[in-house]
Amino acid sequence: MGEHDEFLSDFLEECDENLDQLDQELVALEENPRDESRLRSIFRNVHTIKGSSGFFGFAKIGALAHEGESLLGRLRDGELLFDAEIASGLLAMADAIREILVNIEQTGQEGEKDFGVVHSTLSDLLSREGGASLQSDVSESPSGAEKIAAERSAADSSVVDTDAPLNENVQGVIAKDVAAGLAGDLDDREVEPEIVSSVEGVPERVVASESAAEPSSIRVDVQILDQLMDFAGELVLARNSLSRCSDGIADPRLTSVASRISQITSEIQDRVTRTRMQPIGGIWGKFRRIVRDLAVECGKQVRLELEGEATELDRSLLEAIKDPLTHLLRNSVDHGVETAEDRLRKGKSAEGVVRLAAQHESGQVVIEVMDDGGGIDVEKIRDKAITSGLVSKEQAADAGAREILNYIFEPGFSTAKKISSISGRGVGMDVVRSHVERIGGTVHIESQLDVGTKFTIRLPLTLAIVPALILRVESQVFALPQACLREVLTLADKSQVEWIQEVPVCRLRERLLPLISLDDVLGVTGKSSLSSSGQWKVEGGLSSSQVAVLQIEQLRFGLVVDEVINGQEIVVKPIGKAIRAIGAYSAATILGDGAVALILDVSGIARMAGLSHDLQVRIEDISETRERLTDSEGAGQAMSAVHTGNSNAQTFDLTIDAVDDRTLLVCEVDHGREVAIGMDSVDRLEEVSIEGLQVFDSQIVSNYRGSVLRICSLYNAYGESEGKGTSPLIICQHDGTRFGVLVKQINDVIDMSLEERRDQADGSGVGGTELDGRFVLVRGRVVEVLDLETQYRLTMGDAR
Amino acid sequence: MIQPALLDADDLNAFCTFSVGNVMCGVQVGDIREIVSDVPVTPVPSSAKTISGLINLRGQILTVVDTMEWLHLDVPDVNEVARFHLIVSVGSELISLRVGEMGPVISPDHGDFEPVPKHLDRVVSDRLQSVVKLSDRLVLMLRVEKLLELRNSASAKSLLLEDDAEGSRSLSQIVQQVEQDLQ
Repeated sequence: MGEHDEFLSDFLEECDENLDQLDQELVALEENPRDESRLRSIFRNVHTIKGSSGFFGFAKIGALAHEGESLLGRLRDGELLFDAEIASGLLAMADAIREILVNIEQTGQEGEKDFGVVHSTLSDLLSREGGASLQSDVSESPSGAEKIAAERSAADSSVVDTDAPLNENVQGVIAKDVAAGLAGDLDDREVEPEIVSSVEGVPERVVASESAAEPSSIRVDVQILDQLMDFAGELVLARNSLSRCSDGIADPRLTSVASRISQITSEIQDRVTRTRMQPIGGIWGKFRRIVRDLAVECGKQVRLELEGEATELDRSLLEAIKDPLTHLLRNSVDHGVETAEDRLRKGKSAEGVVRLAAQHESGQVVIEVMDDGGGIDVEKIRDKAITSGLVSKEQAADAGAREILNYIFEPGFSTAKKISSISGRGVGMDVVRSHVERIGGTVHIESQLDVGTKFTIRLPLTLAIVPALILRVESQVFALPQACLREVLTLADKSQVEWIQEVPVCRLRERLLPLISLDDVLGVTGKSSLSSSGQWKVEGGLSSSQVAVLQIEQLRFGLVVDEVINGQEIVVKPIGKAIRAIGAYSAATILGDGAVALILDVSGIARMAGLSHDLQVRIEDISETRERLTDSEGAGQAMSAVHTGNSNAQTFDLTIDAVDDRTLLVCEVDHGREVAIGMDSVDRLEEVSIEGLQVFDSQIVSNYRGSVLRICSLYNAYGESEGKGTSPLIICQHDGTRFGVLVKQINDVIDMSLEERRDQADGSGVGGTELDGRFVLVRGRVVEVLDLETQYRLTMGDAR
Repeated sequence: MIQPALLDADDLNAFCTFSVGNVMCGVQVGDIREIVSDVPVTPVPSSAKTISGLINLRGQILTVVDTMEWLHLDVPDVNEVARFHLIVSVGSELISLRVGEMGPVISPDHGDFEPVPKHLDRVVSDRLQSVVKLSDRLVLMLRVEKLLELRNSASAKSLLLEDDAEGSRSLSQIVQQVEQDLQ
């Protein structure tokens, strides 16, 4: 009986595959009804299902497939023309067979349901335009022996035709039994005309079976692959231990063996990982059907374009991504693509396009779901976000379109006016995001009104072995998946940390980067490194800190740790629910020395630290508000000296901008003196060869990208002679004219916080109105703010 | 490092005993997969007090339950190192119960079993199956399946929040009281 069961499960599996293929081919045929080779392939497919169901005595499947086959036979003979109605009928047949298969899998029986509707639909279709010809065909049908031979070879080759055939022994048994089974099966029924067609089909199939005689692929139990993956993981761990050991022993033989094993391990890991990879096309096939059905249901014309179907990813990921993708597709068809009339009114083609594209990109799989539909009305989302209390009016007003669009991923968020059976209930997008994030991926949305919407999903290639950064806090070691890692910074000293409200931030290339101390979030040492007044308590400790700059969605933040040890490939091991429930850890791994290290859940940690995109926006708001404040009260006064003598409004603007912009470029000129230049006046930073600069009279010029660039040399102007080598050149722009400022070196990019400006405004910081706003305090040092207007006039003046 | 338990796992009336702080506890032999000792435990910052950390058991990562905390027992004055790990299978998961010293395997008579004292903290009494009175000691029989409950985030958290000292004190007090009476 066990053998029978095995055949049965093979039958179920193959039938499933055949049905999936049928779905795809029917949808494809609908697009191109004259594709005869496709029609033949569909015919063979249905025939195979019929033949193998006959072998197991599944009469209902046989009857359904038989009717489908008859219908297809007439289509093939050109008696009927394939249209949407026939496609729906045949798809309904496929669904009915699927339902029976499920029943067989669960109970071993076909079940009670008789699928009368499907049968009548099929026979209605069949009898279209006179079914009288059926009778005449009977006389042409070959003798019983021929029939059986035909069926037998067809059924036989159908087994071989799958890319992973059963073993030969099984084939033999099936071939034998099929003959017997079919003989009995056919005796019960009337002689049908379709037999002729199957005879025609045979030669092709025989060829197919011959070419498949030496199979290049085999069917392997998924469980074995999973175990293999586990062992490969163990091997990686053992390799890591071995490498550690051999590092400590200076024996060349050991070293060479260890490195060889290390190499082989990597290869094995790579190959094993690959065995679990499957082309994404495998799950996409079903999407054609889904989109077709939906489009029909919504009364829209939608074409699904697939690209990069061969892109491979781990099968566990493939499973996990199926639902989110299905949901996004449904959304695109239901909400995205407009009705044909609307589209035509907008000047688009009547048929909407939904595009699904996958590709590998730097160790990740990128999947895009695009539609050329109505897009998302950002203002509608904004209003909805405000009314549902997700965001305050002020925040919403300031937020950019991209941030606003992200609210559609919030639970319960839906702007659909009416709820359809497909979508619009407000559940789904949050599930999409949580599903994707659970497997270590991210999802982004872009949308333009009336142009379309694009979702971008990024996924890791595999879940089992991931590249990670090994971090240390005190004596505890953690692993951080590199997927969300952007860069690693070293905090030289605590003065690099600023405070905006209660949040420590540091400045990274003009952007504020909120900082989280891993120790504080997790309580590794149990003592906070922040004092109650909100300053870093352990000053010395912080001096050796490193910051891992992380990004999840649009939230970018720095994770402060004691040390970033190294990066290595780690094997992800599951952890108990109680530990996952903490929210800070996604899994654990075993390090080379056998010690357990927890794998940090980056988004969980951001959540625990109370860090959200909102907060980041707020921080930026605050610094902007400060700016505005300064603008109204402090700046005008503080900067007055800068623009003395400049009566014209334009130059006034330039000067104010130069200083008022919170970001200043601090450069060293001569004698260690520093000047600051407002970042917004800076066009580019270049490194120029000093020898390449030319001096005409007192004017320094350079050939800059094919045009003459006048340069004001602060380096020279401050009396220090120019040497050889290179020097930084700051390309500034004024009045649409570029000019260069030559400095000794660029020291820093800093933010002028409110406090610092207040100091000057009060005159208490630097002292005296003499200095006024021309100087700012940068970490206690006085820095002159360069009056660009004056510099500009000095540089250009001579030329005028 | 790994000591195979040479016991008849099918014997439903065989209990493996061990010390947890100053009280004696027992677990049905059939629930125990193996007993290991002196394994480095990796602490899990931010976890519940009942979680001692994680261990690596031949490549599998197990959660270690701090049995003393789990039973709300007083921390003993003696600085006892809970060096043994009782690996028990709870549902589909393996969990390590961190305990002090291993005691004998006992097969108490039917009459020796007593119900869990009623006036105990609910949380603690739920985690006990029964109490066995030996000649000179009380053995608290643990309800192993409740170890899984701890893994349930919502209830585990709330359990820990209402970690009032009263219940815990009463458990060790009761045990001590009864044991004194026995002697």
